Amino acid sequence: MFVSDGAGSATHSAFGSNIACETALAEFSEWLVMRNSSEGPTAEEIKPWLSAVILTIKDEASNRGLTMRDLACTFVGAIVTPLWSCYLQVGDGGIVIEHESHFRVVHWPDGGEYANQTHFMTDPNALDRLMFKVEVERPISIGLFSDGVQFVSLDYAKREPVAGFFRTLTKALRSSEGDGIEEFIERLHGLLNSDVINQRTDDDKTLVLCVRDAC
Amino acid sequence: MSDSRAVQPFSFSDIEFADNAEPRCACLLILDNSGSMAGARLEQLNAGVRQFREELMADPLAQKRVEVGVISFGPVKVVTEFTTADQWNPVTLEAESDTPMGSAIEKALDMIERRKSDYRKGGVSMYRPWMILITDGSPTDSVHSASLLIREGEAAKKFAFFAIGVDGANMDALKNIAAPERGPMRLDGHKFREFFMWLSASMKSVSQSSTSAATLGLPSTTGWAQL
Repeated sequence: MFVSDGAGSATHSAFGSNIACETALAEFSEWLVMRNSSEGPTAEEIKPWLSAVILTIKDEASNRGLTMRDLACTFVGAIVTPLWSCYLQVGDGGIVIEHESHFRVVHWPDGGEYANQTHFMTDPNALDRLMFKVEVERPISIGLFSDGVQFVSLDYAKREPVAGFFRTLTKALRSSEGDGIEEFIERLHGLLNSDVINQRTDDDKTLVLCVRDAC
Repeated sequence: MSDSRAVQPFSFSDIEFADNAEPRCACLLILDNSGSMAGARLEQLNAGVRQFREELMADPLAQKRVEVGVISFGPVKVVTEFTTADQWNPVTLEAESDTPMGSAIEKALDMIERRKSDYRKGGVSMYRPWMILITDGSPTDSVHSASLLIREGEAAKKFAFFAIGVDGANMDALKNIAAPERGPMRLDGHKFREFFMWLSASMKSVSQSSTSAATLGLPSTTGWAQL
């Protein structure tokens, strides 16, 4: 799963973020078919995927007569298989995973020094800022999100996720299997649009949530 | 209040949110209270500073996010450590001595770095800090070191440094200190109130900005700056 947040100050960042997700998905799928997937990729193996993302964005910018900056976007990705999980990120936003009722943020958001800036996939030397990890444990739930959700769901002083945020949502998601999923999505949409969240952040909010049955 | 219905399976009623501190914008005023500022100049400056506080208080977000510190010179004194507007009681400055601009700026740089370090340790987000130097004179100490640090800091985007010259201020000296792309400005007469209105509007703009905002646009300086 991949989340890419277009920079608000970039005129065509929606294209950038769209390309980032689709290209990454295509690259990974190809890798999976070609390689023995009992072990996760190394950082060196995934860098070509990300280079492909950057090149595709560059081409799109070129075709539209724009600069890379006009398509600026962050990038957060997680790939979970029965044998390994890998987590990659450039910029802010985050990935929170759950093992045995304990929630952990995989990479602390790399937002740059100031509150109104972040690092983008389209920056020169973006890959120098890549945060990458492979783990053999498979999480029982995982949340990927953009910076709009980060401020309300991560404790900045402790550098930890707010368990009560993720626990409530994953519990609700588990109970909504089958017919209930539509209503869950509606409720989640309502939450992310609510005053209680919008008072704390005016950034765009993207959240991807995934749960599986604990063995 | 009890609810007799069964709790919905996807109730979010027990959801918790992070209680993160508001992002902070440090604004450090470096004010000349040398002998030559005595009289109308200092009166107007003091009035302008008080107005700055009132304007910050009038904006709910700026009130929580902008932290003001004040250094006066000479002699160099930290008049106010960084504080939000609601805790800030502006000190009325009296005319004192000479114009050790170099030392004042170095003290200011030190205050800014320490504040940034406090923010980092506390996990508090911040905006790029601002430093505002207001003077009517010429430095009476060496500004060589200060000048290097300001230019280096601006290039590394550690802060934004604004130098404002009043009346007979030595603008050439200020040009040598300020970063080339943010040259010193001359205050039109004693338009301190107008200057501080511009500063509070700028602070409001910065403290509301987010990564999703368009490029930061600051208000025009025509209300107070001499062309």
